[in-house]
Amino acid sequence: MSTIRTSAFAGAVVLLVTAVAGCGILPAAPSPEPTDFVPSPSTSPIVAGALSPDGFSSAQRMTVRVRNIGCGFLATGSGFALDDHTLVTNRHVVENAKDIEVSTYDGRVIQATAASATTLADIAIITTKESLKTAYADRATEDPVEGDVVTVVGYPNGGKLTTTSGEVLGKTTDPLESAAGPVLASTTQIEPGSSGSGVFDASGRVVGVIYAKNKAEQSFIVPISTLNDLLGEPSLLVPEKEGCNS
Amino acid sequence: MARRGKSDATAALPPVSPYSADGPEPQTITIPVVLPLNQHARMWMALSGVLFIMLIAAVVVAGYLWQVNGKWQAQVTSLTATGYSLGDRIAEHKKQIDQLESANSLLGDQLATAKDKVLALSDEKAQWSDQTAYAQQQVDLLSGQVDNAQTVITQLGRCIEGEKQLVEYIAAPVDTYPPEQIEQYRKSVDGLCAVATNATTEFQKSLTE
Repeated sequence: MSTIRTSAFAGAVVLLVTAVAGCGILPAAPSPEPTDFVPSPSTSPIVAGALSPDGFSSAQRMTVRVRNIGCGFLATGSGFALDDHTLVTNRHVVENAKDIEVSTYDGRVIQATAASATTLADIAIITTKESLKTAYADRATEDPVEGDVVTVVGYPNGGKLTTTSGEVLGKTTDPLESAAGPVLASTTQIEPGSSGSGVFDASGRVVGVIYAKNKAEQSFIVPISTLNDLLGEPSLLVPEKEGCNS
Repeated sequence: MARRGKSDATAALPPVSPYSADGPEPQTITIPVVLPLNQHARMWMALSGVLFIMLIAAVVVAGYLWQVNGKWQAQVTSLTATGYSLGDRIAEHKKQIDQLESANSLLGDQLATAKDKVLALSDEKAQWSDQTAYAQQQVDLLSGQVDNAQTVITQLGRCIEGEKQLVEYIAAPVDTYPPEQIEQYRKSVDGLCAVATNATTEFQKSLTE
């Protein structure tokens, strides 16, 4: 009699345990349906000024065409803006000038008010009274090295604004023997009229100024370190004589 | 003795001897024993109770599963609808992106054309400015040459006038003018003519430069 009761009790316990355990393997009801299938946009709006206002690159916008109206001659070169009233070009571009005019990429003509140059390098600084209203150079602090790809933006042969690229060949002495320090040689193709063009690295910073070429079609660059030194020592820049020498 | 089942259950009884000790050999008799009725029923009742509980549990589980299945089906239907809705939106956005890319490409071409045009016009203006500056230089040069020519003409005119006057002086009667004055005048005229000749030479030289 007691054996039967014990068995029945054990059976009931087993059933209870099985039922409780079985509840654990039963599928649960679905959780509430999510409503965030579409994430909120994460792109930030374009900051004003981050893009070119007219499709031209910063290098194109800062580059100017320099017109040297001399006594009985007319010469053209290139240059680039340092700020709203200051430009960099070559000394030989503004030599013996009676008047200097600069033309911007969009056709505006601005009269230069003064020019100063140095004998340490083929560099001249032009100032204007009228605002250039364009982009301005971001000068690098280090010179480019051999193998660096550089871009030159200027007005070869006094023609259209042109962009050419090349590779830095390394430092060398000035083939014209007019610069005090070393200059850079490059494979960038340039023409007369490119003198004074800014040389830009891959990130758009100015790393030098074009000033000459040789018969082997190599171009020569005043390195940015020289330009930075000159701009840091304004006394090294002497005002150019106005009017005709003779 | 062994139990064989519920129907023929037997139990061993102690041997009873109705005979005397010297009688024939006693015979063993087996009598079936039946368990009490209430114990058997209890087993059935317990088993029935367990089965009933299991039935109830199965019904409960089935109801639960029915409910869960309904919820899952509802959610699957909803998610399917949401999926199609999102698919439609993606297709619509993709269509818009394709249209915008096409428009962007077209605008890029237009921008490139406009940039080329701006550069061409800027170059054209610069060339005109160069020509204007060159023409101005030529005008200045010609203006200077005209001034020089005027000077030369004036000086040549003075020379010619002086020569004419000198001829008159020389052609006059002998005592009209002192010879010294005529000689002095001649030297003056020679000086004027020398200046005019030099000016003419310089002018001609400037024209050939």
